[in-house]
Order: sequence, then C-alpha cells, then structure tokens
Amino acid sequence: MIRAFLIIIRLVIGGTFIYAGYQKALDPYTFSQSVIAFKMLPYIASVTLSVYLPWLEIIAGVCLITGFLGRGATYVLLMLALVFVVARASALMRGIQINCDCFGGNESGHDKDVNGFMIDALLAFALIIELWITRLWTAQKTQAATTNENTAEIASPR
Amino acid sequence: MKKAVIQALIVLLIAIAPAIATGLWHPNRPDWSEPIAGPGQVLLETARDKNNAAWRHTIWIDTRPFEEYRIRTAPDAINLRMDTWDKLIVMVRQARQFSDTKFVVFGEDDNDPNAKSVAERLRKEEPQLDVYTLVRGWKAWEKVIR
Repeated sequence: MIRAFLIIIRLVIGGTFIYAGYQKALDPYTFSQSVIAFKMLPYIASVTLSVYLPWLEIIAGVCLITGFLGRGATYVLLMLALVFVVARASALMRGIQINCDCFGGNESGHDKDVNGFMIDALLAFALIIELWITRLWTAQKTQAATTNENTAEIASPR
Repeated sequence: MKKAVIQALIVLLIAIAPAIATGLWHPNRPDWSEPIAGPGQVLLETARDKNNAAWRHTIWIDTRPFEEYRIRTAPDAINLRMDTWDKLIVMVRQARQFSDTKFVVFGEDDNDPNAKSVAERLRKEEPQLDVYTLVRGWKAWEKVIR
C-alpha cells in the first residue's frame, strides 16, 4: 500500500517537473527573460540559471521516477521548489509581475503569479511528504527484514 | 544522509552538460552579453515591461520591407518606411492616443539604416512624438514572437 502510494506520488511530482523543465528547455530565451524579471540576480547569473534549471528539473524528475539517484533527486527537487516559492513570494511582495513560462505559454498577470506560487508550494509540500513516506517505508522494510532474520535464527538454531 | 548528498551532487553535475549545450547551440538561446540601450534607444524588455508605467502606451513602427512585415511583425505595428512616409505618417499621428505614448522604431537589426532614417525623420518632423529605436531591432522581437 505504502509502496503504491510512493510510486504514484513520485510519478506525479517527477512528471510535473519533467513537463515544466521540458517547456522551459524548448524556449530558453523566453525563460531567461522571466528569470531576469525577478530582479534577484545579476544578468549573467540569471541567464546561466535559465539554461541550467530546465535540465536540472528534467534530470531530477527522471531520477525521481526511475529511482536512480532517487534520494538525491528528491532533495534537489525540494531545494528547487523552495527556491521557486521564495522567489515568487519575493516578486509578489515587490509587486513585480513575472511573465513566467514555468508551465509553458507566456501569459502573465497577478492571478497567474499567485497560481504559480501555489503550485510551487504544493510541490514542496508533496516532496516533504514523499521524503517522510520513503523514510517510513524504509523503516518498515528494515524492521521486517530484522524480524525475518530473528525468526529464521529461532527456527534453525546452530 | 551522506549518500543522499552525494546523489544530489551527481544529479546537479549531470544537468551541467545539456545546459552548456543549450547555452551554446540552442537556436533560441538567451543573450550572454547584457544588451545596453544608448540614448534614444530602448530594450525590448523595457518597452514591453508591464510593471513599467512609463511604457504602458507603446506604438511599434516596423521599417522593414512590406513583404517581411506582412509575414510577421510586432503586435499592432505600423509599417512605416521612407518610401511610404507620405501615405502612412497620418496613421502614426492618429496612433498617438495618450500624451505619454512612446514610438519605438525597429528595422532588421541595430545596423538597419531604414530604422535610423525613419527615427531621425520622425524626431525632426514630428517633435511632439516621443521616439526611440529598438536595440537589436526585429532580431529582438524574433526571439519572443514565434
């Protein structure tokens, strides 16, 4: 049951990041304009980030789904989601309208920015849940393995 | 925890390779050198900035040949060239609905002589208009209009 839930949650989170990264990777110029619009970093850092972030999202998303480097990918995605939350909150507080193409398209508007903030916050929350469930599942597995070992030892004493 | 940190570092490293490729070879890669607007010039990002009240009313003037203008241009741009000046200057005057309306002239790129001539003539003959030339011209627009 826990395993099935883990698979579903990883598929949803990983899929969301892969989709978002793919949309940005298709059009790095437009995404760079969005990153520059946040006015949080120097120009060259914003441009570097705008070509790096989409691929990081795609690769970490794939790792999360496949399980290859999965634990590390979860931390990377959590860090990304938290950075997005802080950046969006900062832009909203400064009254800056971001033309973010985080999920494709280039419409803008306050409502869209608020929706983007909510999605990022939701993703961060889902990733924390994922980490918690993974820990729970790993603990259960370890406990089950220990119990099996003990039972086997009792059943066949040397 | 140590294992997770190492894994995270590997994920961060793997993403560098495609990012470098994107930055170097993607057809729509961002500009690595920061575009700077000189006097009488404006950056596309500034002229389109929805947060900037000074640029709320912008009229685009495309000085490229009509055939190219017809295929693709900036939103609601007027195609004004030296050879169509007399016919179309009325349209430019009529487009000025607000006192703070700004006119941004663009040609093929920064070196397009048509854009420079049209901007100079507009400044000279229509001194009431606030005229700018667009840094990188149509090449700047091309990246945001597809």
